[in-house]
Amino acid sequence: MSSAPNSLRASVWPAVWLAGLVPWVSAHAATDHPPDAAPCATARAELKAHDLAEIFLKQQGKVELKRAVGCLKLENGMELPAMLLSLPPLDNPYSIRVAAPTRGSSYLQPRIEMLDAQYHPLRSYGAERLKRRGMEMSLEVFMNAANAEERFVLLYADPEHLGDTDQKTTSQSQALFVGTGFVITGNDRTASLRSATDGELTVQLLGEQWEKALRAARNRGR
Amino acid sequence: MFKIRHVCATGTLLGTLTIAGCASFPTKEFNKDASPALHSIAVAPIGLPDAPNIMIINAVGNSFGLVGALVEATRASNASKEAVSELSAGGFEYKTYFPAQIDSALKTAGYQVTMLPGARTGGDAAKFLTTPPAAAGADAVLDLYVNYLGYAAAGAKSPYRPAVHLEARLIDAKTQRVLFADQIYYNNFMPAAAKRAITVEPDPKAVFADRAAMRAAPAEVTSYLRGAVDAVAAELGKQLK
Repeated sequence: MSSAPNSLRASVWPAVWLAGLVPWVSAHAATDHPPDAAPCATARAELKAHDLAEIFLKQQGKVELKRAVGCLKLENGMELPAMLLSLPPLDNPYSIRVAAPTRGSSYLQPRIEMLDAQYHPLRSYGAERLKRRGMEMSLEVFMNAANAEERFVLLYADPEHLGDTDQKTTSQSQALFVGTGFVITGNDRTASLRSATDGELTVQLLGEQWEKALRAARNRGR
Repeated sequence: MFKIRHVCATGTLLGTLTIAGCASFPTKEFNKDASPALHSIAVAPIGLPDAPNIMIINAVGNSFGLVGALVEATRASNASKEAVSELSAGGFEYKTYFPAQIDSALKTAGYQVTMLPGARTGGDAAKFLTTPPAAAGADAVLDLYVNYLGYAAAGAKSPYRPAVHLEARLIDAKTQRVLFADQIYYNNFMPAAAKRAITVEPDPKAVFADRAAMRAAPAEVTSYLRGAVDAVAAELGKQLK
């Protein structure tokens, strides 16, 4: 039973209601009129390239695909957030691992295009090639000597898989207090995720030389 | 003595899952373009559980010390024995079916396949081989073991779903270099523990409300488990294609 006077309730409830409304209003405003929207590039060459090695060594490869970072107008007229990354020189074979987490209510299924110096796609991987690994979807692209012409990797949500829903069931533990202590029990947890245009990605460089470079970067940061 | 042995078995399983969570599996995807001369694969005898696993992942019994663990171990052991009968009634012999599906999946992926004779028993059935077997004429040796095959429920009142967890490693026959190492989990019921395992979601229809429902439908129990094995073998073939 609450002992708060009615006058206090009258002042508190509108504030609580408004506080609940603010995130909704801001979310919708952001969707309808993105304040930081950059003009959409109509060609791959117009996108600003970011240095993949730097992103990997300084940000552990974490990037967020959103319109503010880059936008590409596809041949079918669809405009999607896109990120162009310049590849490091191919001194030794290495691989690029692109991973999208499957937490929350939505997830990103990227399309991965490997472009040459003239921004022409030489290889491309649709979302159907992604592997579900634990709590993420990922793909590893190998850079062998035969791929020496490739200069950029372009990432954007695969338009053919936008709106896909992904349902997964996992077990979860529950601790129940039973008077003398806790009992661990479990139940199923089913999550349904929807494929979106925006989202987090981790782009890693794998290979002996990159392990060394990462160790050196961490040592410098200490 | 009997009960202690089963407590140890359950403890080992839980320990394995815990260790799997702590030590990340050294995943190595297969770079086919870097191995153009790889045409033939010899498959070492595959490590398989002695009996199907029927596990309640968060069993209440495990919260009540040794006595609770004994009760739970006995339940799991009895359920496993019952599952042997259920699979037998459904005409499913996973110890021959699993290798046959691997053979087929590798051939579909374009390899010449030799299934090496012999058996993998004791501790070797649940870990990678220390020394890969000799495989004359083969370009690589595939070392496989299954650390879970059966059904799992999240809790005592949760439904049972099929689960097959495969660990795989492909070794260059000449250099002994690891060309591929991965985990393929049909129904990765503990994704936080197997963070990097390739996960195949279970068939949404493959659900049994409880053990009684499983006992009443051995044909379905068998069919869904066979489907899980098929999916894992196909996924392995896809990784090596």
